[in-house]
Amino acid sequence: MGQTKYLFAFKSENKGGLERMLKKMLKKKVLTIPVALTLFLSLILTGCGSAATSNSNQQATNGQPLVIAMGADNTGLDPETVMNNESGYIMAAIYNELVEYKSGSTDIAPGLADSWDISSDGLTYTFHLHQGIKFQDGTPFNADAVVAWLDRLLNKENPNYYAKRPGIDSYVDFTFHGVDIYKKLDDNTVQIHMTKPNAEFLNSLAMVWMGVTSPAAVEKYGQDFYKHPVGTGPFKFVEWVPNDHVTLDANTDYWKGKPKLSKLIYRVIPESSVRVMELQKGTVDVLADVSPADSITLKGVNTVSLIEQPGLMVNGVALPTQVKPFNDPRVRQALNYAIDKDNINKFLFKDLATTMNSPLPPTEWSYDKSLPGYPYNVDKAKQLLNEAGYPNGFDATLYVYPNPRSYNPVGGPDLGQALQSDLKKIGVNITLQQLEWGAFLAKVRSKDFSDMALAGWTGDNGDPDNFLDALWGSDQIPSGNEAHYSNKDLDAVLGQALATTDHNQRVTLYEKGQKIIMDDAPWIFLNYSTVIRATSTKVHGMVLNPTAMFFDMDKVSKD
Amino acid sequence: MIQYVIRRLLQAIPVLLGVSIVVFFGLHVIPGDVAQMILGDKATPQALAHLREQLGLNQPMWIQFWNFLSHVVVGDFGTSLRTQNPVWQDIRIAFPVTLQLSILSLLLALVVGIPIGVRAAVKQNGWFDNLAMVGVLVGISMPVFWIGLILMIVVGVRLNLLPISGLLSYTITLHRITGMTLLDSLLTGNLNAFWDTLKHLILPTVTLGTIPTAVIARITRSEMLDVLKQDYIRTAWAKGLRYSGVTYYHALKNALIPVITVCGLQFGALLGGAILTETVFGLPGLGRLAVNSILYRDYPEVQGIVMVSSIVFVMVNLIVDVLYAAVDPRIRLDKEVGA
Repeated sequence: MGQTKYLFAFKSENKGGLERMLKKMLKKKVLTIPVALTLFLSLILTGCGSAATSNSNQQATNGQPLVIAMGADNTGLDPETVMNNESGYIMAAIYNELVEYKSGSTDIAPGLADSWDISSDGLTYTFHLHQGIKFQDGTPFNADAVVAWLDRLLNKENPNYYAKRPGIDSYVDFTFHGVDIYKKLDDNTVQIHMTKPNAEFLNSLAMVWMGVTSPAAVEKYGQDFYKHPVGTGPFKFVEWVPNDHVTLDANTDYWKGKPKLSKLIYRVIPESSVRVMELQKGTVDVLADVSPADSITLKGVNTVSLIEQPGLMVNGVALPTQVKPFNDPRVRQALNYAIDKDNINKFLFKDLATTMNSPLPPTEWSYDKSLPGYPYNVDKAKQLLNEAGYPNGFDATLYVYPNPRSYNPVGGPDLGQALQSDLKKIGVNITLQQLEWGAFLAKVRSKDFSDMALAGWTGDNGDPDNFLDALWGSDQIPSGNEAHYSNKDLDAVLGQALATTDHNQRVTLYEKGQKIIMDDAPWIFLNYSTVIRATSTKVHGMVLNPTAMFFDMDKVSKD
Repeated sequence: MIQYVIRRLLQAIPVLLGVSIVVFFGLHVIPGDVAQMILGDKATPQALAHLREQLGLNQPMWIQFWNFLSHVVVGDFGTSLRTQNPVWQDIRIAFPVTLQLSILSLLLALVVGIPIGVRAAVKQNGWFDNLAMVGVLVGISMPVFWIGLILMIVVGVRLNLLPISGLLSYTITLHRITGMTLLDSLLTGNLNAFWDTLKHLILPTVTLGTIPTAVIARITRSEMLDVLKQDYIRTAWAKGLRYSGVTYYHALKNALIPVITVCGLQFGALLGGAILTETVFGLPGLGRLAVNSILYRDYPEVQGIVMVSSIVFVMVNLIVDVLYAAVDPRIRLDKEVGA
């Protein structure tokens, strides 16, 4: 093209026209030349420069670095003050918790505590700590450290109280509600006492949001600890470049054994198609979140493997059980039978969702896979409507949110339309009402809300109570329980299950609870979305935890 | 001249006040509870009430506005709700990234756009002119997002020549001075970082620079066509001056005023267009910061970003006006204002 000639002329001829003009214009020869040269070089260097830094990929002592791509930046790495997945992904490698999830499940296993005793009234928990652990800054982990950690969370007078800044998201109240005493019994034993039994306590303690922080580091950094995280985990914090990346180095003294990777790098790449390209290019090893559309692209790539699992989440429609005609269970059941869930999963969710048969997802302990659910059956739906006195159906409004959510990756409007067309077949005419997410939440969580609304939930701690009570317990009206569903039998079962420390008894009670909710149909139960994580085939030992966090990264390796 | 600049700066005050009113009330009348947006769907009613209290959201709107304004006047935009940093600090980190990208794109547009425009005008209706003007039309019409992805697929993935996202490889550490990575790497003599960040910047620069290049080529061509018809140009050719002498020295100089205007406008557009480019290429700039803050309803941060962007706009306009006088001595700024 023509401009090349001028560019060359520009560079070689000192007295060229353009340069003379610029010189006169700016009267600063010194500036013009380097600027022009920089640009000229940047244009022709497209190819030439690629050798310059390719050898700078210096490797640490041994093991490979692993690059994980995520769509957004974390908002801080102080576990008790954040609730977003991106922060969790990173913190899962920096911290340990008192108890931990068994690999790939929501069952509880020993963590920083080797064992624990629960008093028969379910009010006192005694933790026996693993000995000889050190935080990454060298501070010993012992009963004093645990008490200091608890004091920061529970004592408002503590100078480093965790919730001093406004707007922090926290699971502290969720986990520790009712805890009144925490104390050291000896160097390796800590006791926690609560006023009301809370059987999901252990499951809550295992969450990544309950990572145990180094008391010395908290003291040192104060309110800035979220930028200087120190835990006991397999990787230690090196740097955080906002909106770009976080680097962690292997903690070679890790108490469970030296990690196999040398580094973990969490890169922020906002565009999902760019993340996919980076994985194909080999510059990224793991995609933390994969959308259904991208998973179809990635299925054809032979250097990529996909890990799929039904998510710890449920997706459906909350029915206003307190008003006519939804106060009749037969109407609610009819609506459930009328929806062709398998069809929606196949065509709308591209086979990346499975039909709900229980209010609990399959990755949840006590999930009852024998429940029949509501198989698609238009005749039965019509018959039930007829029995309830609505042979010709009725009109109703369904509120939908606009954007995709983790439990509904296709977004509100598409799902709403699919439901609308299915319900039309039994004479139920749905008007769709779309509200922006903030306005949607405000609407469906108000006391007098009495329409249908899309609903969904992602589990927090892997305890069944976190689904069954959070969504259908009458104490959760109207915030989590958008269906305004109130059933004394269910409340009794859930209350009993929360007061029992015997695991098997809890399983039995929750099975009962699942059946009550399914039969009563306060929701249209739709599906469990599939959680997908993509890795390069060079990566080994990666296990997807139901909570989606990157636990057990010490066992992951890369060729 | 100085008097003119001062007057223009004073005129900026009502503009910024207007902007602050629009930003504040715009953010506060969007439906949806701010506290709910920040804490998400898992927040308990107590937590929501507590946050509203902490943020002063329960107070009457005009008191909230007064609190905001009285802090902004002294340059205090508050603390970001999302990053927990002072808003000023977040902007100081993100803004140089956007500025660097915008300057590079504008330079690219000038260095490529002006010669294309000149050549097209000189050889009006020739094959180069026709080709260039079709190219310009294509360039203006292509969405930034699409150019970015195509460049990535071809240059980044297929040919594997350049990195496709980020500003600097994670393996390289660069001491921060100005926040503009090219400049910082030169200032610290870190050549490794210079090459690395240069490679990262090429695709975003070309992506963001395509539209201004097309616009500048187009405007240069049409202005040059006017100027080339003048008598003194005929004289210049007649004197036997070289191609570059006639076109660049004699003609272009007089065709440059509208080009400068367009540069000013395009620079504003570049800062705005950077939002998409930064998102596609994963660059940690001001556009990305703005998008994240809006999604999170981090209103102190949004207010700060909009205020800073407005100030930049006002400054760019001022610089353009001053440049007029520098290029064309017939324009006297002081007199113009008086008229």
